Amino acid sequence: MTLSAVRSKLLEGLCAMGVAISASSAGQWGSVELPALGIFDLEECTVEAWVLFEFEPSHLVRTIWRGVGLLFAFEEPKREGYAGTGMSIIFGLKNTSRHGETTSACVMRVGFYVEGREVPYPVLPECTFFGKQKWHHIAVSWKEGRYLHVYLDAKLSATRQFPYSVERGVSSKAKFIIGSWGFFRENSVAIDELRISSVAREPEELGYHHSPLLPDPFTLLLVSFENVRMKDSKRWLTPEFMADVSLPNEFEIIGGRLIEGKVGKAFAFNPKEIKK
Amino acid sequence: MRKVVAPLGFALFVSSVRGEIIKPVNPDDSPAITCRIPAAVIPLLRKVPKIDGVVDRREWAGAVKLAPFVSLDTGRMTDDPTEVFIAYTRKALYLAFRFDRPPNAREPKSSENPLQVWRDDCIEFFFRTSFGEKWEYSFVGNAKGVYEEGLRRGVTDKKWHSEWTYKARRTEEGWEGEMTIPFKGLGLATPKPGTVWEIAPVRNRKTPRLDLACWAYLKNWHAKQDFGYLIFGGQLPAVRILRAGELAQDEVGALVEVTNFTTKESKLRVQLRLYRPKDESLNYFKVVDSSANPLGPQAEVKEKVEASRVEKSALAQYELLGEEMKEFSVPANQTRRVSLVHSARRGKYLLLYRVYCSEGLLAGGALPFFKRSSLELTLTPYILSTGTVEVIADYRKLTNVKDSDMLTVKLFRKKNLLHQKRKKANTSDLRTVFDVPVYGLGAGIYKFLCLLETADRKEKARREEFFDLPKIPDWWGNTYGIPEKVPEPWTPVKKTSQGFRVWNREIKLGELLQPLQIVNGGVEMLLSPICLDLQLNGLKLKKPKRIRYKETEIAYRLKLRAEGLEGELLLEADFDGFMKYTLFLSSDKSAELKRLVLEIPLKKDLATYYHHGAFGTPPSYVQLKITKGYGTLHDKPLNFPFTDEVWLGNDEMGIQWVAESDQWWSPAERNKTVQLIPSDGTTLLRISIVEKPRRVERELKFQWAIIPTPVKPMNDLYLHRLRYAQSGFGMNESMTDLAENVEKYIEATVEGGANAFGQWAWRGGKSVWNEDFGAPGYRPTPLNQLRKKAFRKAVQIAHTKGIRWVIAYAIWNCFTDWPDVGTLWREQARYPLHPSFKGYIYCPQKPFTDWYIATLRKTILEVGIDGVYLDSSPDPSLCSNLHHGCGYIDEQGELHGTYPIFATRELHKRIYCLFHQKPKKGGLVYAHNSHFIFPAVESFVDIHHCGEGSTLRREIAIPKFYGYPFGIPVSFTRWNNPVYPETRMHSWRFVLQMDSTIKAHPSFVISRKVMPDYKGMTREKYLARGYDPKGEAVWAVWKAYREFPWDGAIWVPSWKADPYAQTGDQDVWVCLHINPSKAALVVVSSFKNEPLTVRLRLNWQKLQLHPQKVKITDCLTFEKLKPSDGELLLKIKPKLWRMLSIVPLSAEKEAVNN
Repeated sequence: MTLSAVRSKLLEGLCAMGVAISASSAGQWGSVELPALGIFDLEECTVEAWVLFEFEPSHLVRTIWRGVGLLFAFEEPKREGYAGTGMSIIFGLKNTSRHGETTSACVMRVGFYVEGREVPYPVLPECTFFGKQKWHHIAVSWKEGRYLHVYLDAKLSATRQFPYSVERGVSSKAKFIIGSWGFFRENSVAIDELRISSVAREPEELGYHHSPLLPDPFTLLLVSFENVRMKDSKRWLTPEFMADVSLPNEFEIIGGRLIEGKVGKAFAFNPKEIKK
Repeated sequence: MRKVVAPLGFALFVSSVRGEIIKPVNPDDSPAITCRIPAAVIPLLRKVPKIDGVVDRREWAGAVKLAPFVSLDTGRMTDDPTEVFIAYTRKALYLAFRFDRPPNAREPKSSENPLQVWRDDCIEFFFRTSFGEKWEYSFVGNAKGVYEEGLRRGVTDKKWHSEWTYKARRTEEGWEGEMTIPFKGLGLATPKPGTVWEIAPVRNRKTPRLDLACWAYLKNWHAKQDFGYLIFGGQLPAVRILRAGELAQDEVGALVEVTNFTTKESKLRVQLRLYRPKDESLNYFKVVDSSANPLGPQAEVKEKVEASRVEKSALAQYELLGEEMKEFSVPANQTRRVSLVHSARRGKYLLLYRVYCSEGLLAGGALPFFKRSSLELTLTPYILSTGTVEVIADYRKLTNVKDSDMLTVKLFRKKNLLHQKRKKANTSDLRTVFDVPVYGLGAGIYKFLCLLETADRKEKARREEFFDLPKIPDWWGNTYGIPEKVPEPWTPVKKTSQGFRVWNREIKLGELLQPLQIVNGGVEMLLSPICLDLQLNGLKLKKPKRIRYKETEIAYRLKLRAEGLEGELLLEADFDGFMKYTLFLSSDKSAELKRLVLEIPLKKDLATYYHHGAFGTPPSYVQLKITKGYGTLHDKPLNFPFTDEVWLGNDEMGIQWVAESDQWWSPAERNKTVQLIPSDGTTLLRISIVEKPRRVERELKFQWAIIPTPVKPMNDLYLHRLRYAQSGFGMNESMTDLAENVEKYIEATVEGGANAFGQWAWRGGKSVWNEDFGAPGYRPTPLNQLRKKAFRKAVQIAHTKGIRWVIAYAIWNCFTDWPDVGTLWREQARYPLHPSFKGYIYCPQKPFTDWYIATLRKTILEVGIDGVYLDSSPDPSLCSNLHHGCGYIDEQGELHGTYPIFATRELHKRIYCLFHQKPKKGGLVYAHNSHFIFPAVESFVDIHHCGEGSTLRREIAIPKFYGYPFGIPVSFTRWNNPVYPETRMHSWRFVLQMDSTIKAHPSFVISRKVMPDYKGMTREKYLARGYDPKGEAVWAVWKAYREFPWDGAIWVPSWKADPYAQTGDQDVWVCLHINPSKAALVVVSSFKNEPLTVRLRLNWQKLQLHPQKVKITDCLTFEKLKPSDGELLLKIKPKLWRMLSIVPLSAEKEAVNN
């Protein structure tokens, strides 16, 4: 299944977040785009952050994927003769049947596609237990382009060994996207203390155990949303740390809103405040 | 070999000569050196990596990551990624590597035998712990984790051992490994910060094809000066070249990381620059080396050029596309990255990177790379050799090639399809080679279209290339220099009742056309007949037939039949005694060849010395582990693998056996393919061609040759009466005519004794010779017309003034831009390509030889030169250019090189005949060959010129440096070059014992009295030094030779001197030229390291001289000596010599001037 097919299926259930997003039609859904070259690596990497669901992840749904949103994505765009490569961490609501009883669950989906083809298979750890309006830590790491680990609150939640390496070069056109993007516009999640590292972090090294995060030799990007300034009527985010000194030092924040975070401020993708 | 120390007035052309780039001990002293030599400062690791063969990113995060490797073939970044990490602890050096291999060819070759590890895909880590040292450590490991170490001094001494750890493993993409080398094992303490090593980590890949790559670009396998810098940094950040080259389909650039695992902040400055060559044909390292030294590796004496000058000059040929200059701090325990990106199309690029910290340079280097399209075509014309254009379709960039995919190559003229070829895609190599026939097509523009399609013709990739098909050049197929008559000094071939006779040798033929006996100068060489043991089921031989007989050759054919097989054995013998055997066997069924072994039983006293050629037939010269050998035969047998030649002989005669190829050979034991087996009364040379029976399923060809030596009479003219000086005639200031003072200069040189002059030039400039190093003629330019005219004038003046031979330096490489060669140079080049000035090292097969001979002949006619100085040409060098007839692919599909002995011989024969038959006679072929004499080729040279840089060891004197058993005069090249093991003056002690001389420069012999305005040293200055190690003895030696009455003289070498003279000390040699009753010339050479007084006892009776009635003169100091009780007391300085002239008093006034 290609990512676009996944997207199509997910699209079907966008309205599951209706309660959360109903007030947002006037504003833009939040995102920040950063150049990926120098801060992202398909051979080995860890992407981690604190996240907060502004919706109820155990909300009962009837169809397969009822609610989706995107936390982070990496995209090496398509070009002539090149079908594109990417990685995404999304989440959604899914109905599950256990012992004849249908319930809903919130599931993360961590997947890669390489040169237009999905890498079999994505991992789908459940995060229903995150609950609403509670900060939880997620971390995704991979090594040798093949060995994927997903940690929820620093506990190993899922692993996957890909049948081949996903390692590909990253160009200057590649992007790392935080928040709403593409089909995954309307999601009511907030994030804080985002860190990208050049190695696959061990559980004890994850940001779950360290607050606030400080850069170390493996840190490529550290964003805590503390440094935001207005310029030309736009909000500009300066990451706390960015290893690549060739990149710009601030990035426009599109939509969303800044809220009280796990540590200091955080970035909520939904432009409207959600009632707790 | 060559030296540019031009006399003033002729030296202007030299001023344009640039030597080699100055390589400082520490690159910090001249960071621009990193435009040629990469540098990396390595940090002290805080945490020791686990050496388990798994290259873990975190473990090696604190190490330096070197820039990607450069292919030693192309001089560009390799197609398959290479990564090397280096760092150190207080106890050891740590290195990790990851080598990708081509997609679908990811099984590296590896065995479990440590001594075979060099034959596998391996990492070879060479390093020198002392700057400029003449040897290096060699640590080698393969993908199986097998490893070995040694000391490399040309060849690797595997007896040296050191404790170290190495682990490796195969990976999905190729293989990787880790090693640690304790300093203690090298006899070293922890290197202090700032310590510099020179290193060359080499990825030596054997499959799917040979591919050498190194962090530093090595001009050749032994280019030690090109090693990169490794500087121990202590507490400094690590620079890591994470990415370089192509970043995406339409982008190129770099990503550089600096990790700071130290406890202090570091200030950094990073410079990344991206260039594109102004001319796509430029090869970056060649541009740099040409900027530093237009002659490349062959330059003997070099000027030094500042790296900054070299860099500026080289980069002037490049266009700057983009740069990134960043200054920043990296706090302790943090990392920073700098990236440079530029949109790019297909083509060549160059990345220059330099990283500085406050302590100085941290890393620097230049990385040329090529941005490829997904399907690349390489078109190479082989219209002379095979009438084809070779098309290599390269699709290694495509990721979805399947076994069922097809490649089609179409050749069009305008819109007309002329040829079409279709092949299955090669998913292991991702390259497909087509030979598209173009025979009979006219010259002009053609189009090649290549399609990569699925089985159902769905196009995956396509590429079009236009190709300018050249016309067949006029020089192709010429017969210049091919002798119709026997050239001087040989005699015509004569058939005899049992065989044939050539000069000084009679060959009686027996079974299978093998010699029953070889009578050499009246001496029977064989103890029993040469035996060719050919075993085939039901073998029946027909009677041999003589198929050719003329004065230059005689040839026989012997037809044979066996069960399911037929064949023939040819013997073609030339006037110099060269006997070439060719055995063809063919079967349309499947027959068996049981055995083919050649045995040459020489009488034992005729086989006291030997030399042999390189071992094996790898595809590339650089893979040869042993290139030559020589020594004294003792009672133990010597066993060799296949070698291209063996000579066995004594100090008067011998026999050489040669073979170009070991294709179809199957010896029982590879290392016993060639054996020298001494026994009572005989020494057997056994060549085991086939011992393990092999099937004959198509035509097999086995070929070898023998030549009894000496090949011709020792020519006293070239041996004792030729006085050769090498320099260069120059043009005048306005470059319109010969320089005004040439005439005076020639007069002064002749007055100094010279009668032969070598026209040497690095390149054009003010020289009258051509601007192309090694070319046999001039390019057609207006300036060259003037040069040609001036050279002709100089030759005429020289002849008038007493120079008998004016010769020109004229061989080294083929040219990629020669007017009447053009793109056909690929047929002339040795493979793998070996870059040299303006081209590549040539291979002497016909496409080169025909051009060379035609061009040289034109030069003789137009300029009147009397000879040539040939450089390294007589040594048949391994080549695997299949198209022009070298190399072969074995039954396992592996490429092998072969030694083009017959082509080398043909080239030299034709050169020789140009100067000894037509258009010239009595000419001079002065051939430089640092190896031993190769009789099958050097039959056709007048002088074997050797010794450059060689250690002059007495135990190898005869097989390597002595001309008599070969019939070829020898001269030496010895300059006072710091890289040589000893000075020229020291060398004379050995050279004179070989009845040889040393090539001179006119400045050694010119006198201030004759040429008062001559600047620099003159002979008076040198003579005033006497036997000083920095002195020059040539004028004095020449003087002694000129005064000696050679007619009727005999030569007595030191090992036969006993009846004539004794020193009583085996480390003090004495040799003599004796003309009984008329004169003696005595040389006493000390091989001791301390001064000594020698008591020289002469047998006056044998000399037919009376000790009281002779005048004894030291030839160098002119000191008069008197014998006491018939003995002479001689004081000799360490490693020096004395030369004494002894003439009867009655003859004192009758000095003979030859």
